[in-house]
Amino acid sequence: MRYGFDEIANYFPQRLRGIILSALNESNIEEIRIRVDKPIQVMGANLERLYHKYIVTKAECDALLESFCQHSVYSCEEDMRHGFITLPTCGVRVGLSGSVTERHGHVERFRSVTGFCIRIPCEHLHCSATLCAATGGLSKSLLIASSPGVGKTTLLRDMARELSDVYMKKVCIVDERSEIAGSYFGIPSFNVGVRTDVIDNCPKKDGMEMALRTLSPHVLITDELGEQAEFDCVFRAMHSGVHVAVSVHSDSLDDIAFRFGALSDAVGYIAVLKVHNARRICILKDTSGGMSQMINLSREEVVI
Amino acid sequence: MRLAAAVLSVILCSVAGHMRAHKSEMRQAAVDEFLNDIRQISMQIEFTSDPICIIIDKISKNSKLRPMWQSFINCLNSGMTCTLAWHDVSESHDLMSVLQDEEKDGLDNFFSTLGQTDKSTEKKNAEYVYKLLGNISERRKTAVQNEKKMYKSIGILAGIGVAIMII
Repeated sequence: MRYGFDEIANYFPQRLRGIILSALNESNIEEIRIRVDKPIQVMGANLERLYHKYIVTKAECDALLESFCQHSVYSCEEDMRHGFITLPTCGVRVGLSGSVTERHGHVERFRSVTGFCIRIPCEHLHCSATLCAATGGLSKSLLIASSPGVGKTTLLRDMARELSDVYMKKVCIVDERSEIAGSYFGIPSFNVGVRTDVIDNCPKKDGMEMALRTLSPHVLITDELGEQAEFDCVFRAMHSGVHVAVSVHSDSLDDIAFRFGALSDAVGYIAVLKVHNARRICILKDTSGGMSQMINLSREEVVI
Repeated sequence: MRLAAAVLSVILCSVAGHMRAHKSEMRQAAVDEFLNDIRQISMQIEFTSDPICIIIDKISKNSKLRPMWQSFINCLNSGMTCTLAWHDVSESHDLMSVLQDEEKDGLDNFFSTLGQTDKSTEKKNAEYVYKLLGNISERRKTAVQNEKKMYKSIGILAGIGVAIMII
C-alpha cells in the first residue's frame, strides 16, 4: 500500500471500508470510481475490477460527500463548482459527477452528487532525473505532451523537486486544481523541493502573472494548458527570461505541431510521453535541431 | 426534637425550592450559551470557511459548552455524520436535559443541515435557529424570574407548613 493512502478508507461508510482498503493494497491502482446504484470500480495500469457485491446507495454517496468535505460542504464550495474536492490526505483529488444548478451561465452548485472519481496520485521520486539531465537542468523551456493518465503531472511534480533540490533553481508551480503539489489549505502534500513555491487553487493565467511579478522564479511549472489566455501568459513568461515546463494533452509530435504550433516553435524541448510494454517512455525532441532522445522513465535511462 | 425536625424540614424544602429555581436558570443560561455559540459558528463559516471541526474547536475554547463540543468533534472524527454526531451528543449530555422540546427541535434542525450546503444556505439556517432560540429566550426571560421567585417561595412555604405540622 502506498504510504498514507490507507487513510482514504476512513472516509468511506463502514460497509465499504474493507473493500476500499483491499483495493488500495493494489500496487498499480490509479482510480476508484463510485456511482449511485452501481458497483465500485477500481482502475489502474492493466487493471479493472468491478465489485458487484458492493452496490453503492444514494445515502452512502451523501455520507461520502459529507465525509470528503470534512462535514463542511461550504468550505469546498469553490472547488465543487469546478467539479472536484481535494482531500487533506496526501492531496488526493476527487472528481464529482451528478446534477448541478446553473446561474448566469455558470455552475452555481451541485444539487446532488451521484458519482466520485478518486484519483490516487503517484509520487515517483527521481523519475525525471534523466529528463532533467538531458535538458541540462531545463536550460530551455519544455513542453510535455501525452494522453490522459500517462504521467504528465507525476513527471512535472518530480521535475519541480529535481530542479529545486538538485539544480538549485527557484521553481514556482501554478497549480490550478491542486494536482501537482496536492496542496491542502496551501500546504503541499508532495515533496516538490525546498526552493519551490506553490500558487494553489488559482487560475493558471492569474497564477503565472502573480508568479512572474512577485516570486522571481527561474522555472515556472503548470499543468494542462488549454485556453489562449494561458498560452499568452506562457509566452510572456518566456519573453521575461523564465523557463517554463508545461503540459498539454496530445499524443504525437505531429499533433503538437498541428494544434500547438506557436508554442512548439517557442519552446526549446518537446517531450512526448507514451506507455510501451507497461513502461513509461519519453521521446525528447530538441526544437533547435539537436538529436531526439528516447528516455525510459521507469528505469531512468536514455534508450536511444 | 420536634423543633429540630421542624427546622430541618424548613431547610430541606427551601433547598429543594432553590434547586428547582436553579434548574430554570440553567435552562436560560444554556439557551443563551447556544445562541452565542451558533452566532460564532455562523460568523466563522462566513468569514473563514474552515471545516466544521476546526470552527467548533475554535469556539469551544471560550464556551461553557466546551465538554459537549469536544464530544461532538470526537464523534465527527470517528466518522459519524453531523446529524448522527449531534444525536449522540444530545442523548448523552446532561445539559440537554434542561432544554425543552421546542429548543431541542430548533437545535436538531440546525445540526441536521450543518455543513451540508453552501455558505449562503448555512448562513440562512443559522439565522433561522438564532431567531427561533432568541425568541424563546426573550419570552422565557421574565418567566424565569417569576419562576425563580415562585419556586423559592413555594420551597420556604412548604417547609414552614411541614414544620407547623410536625410541631
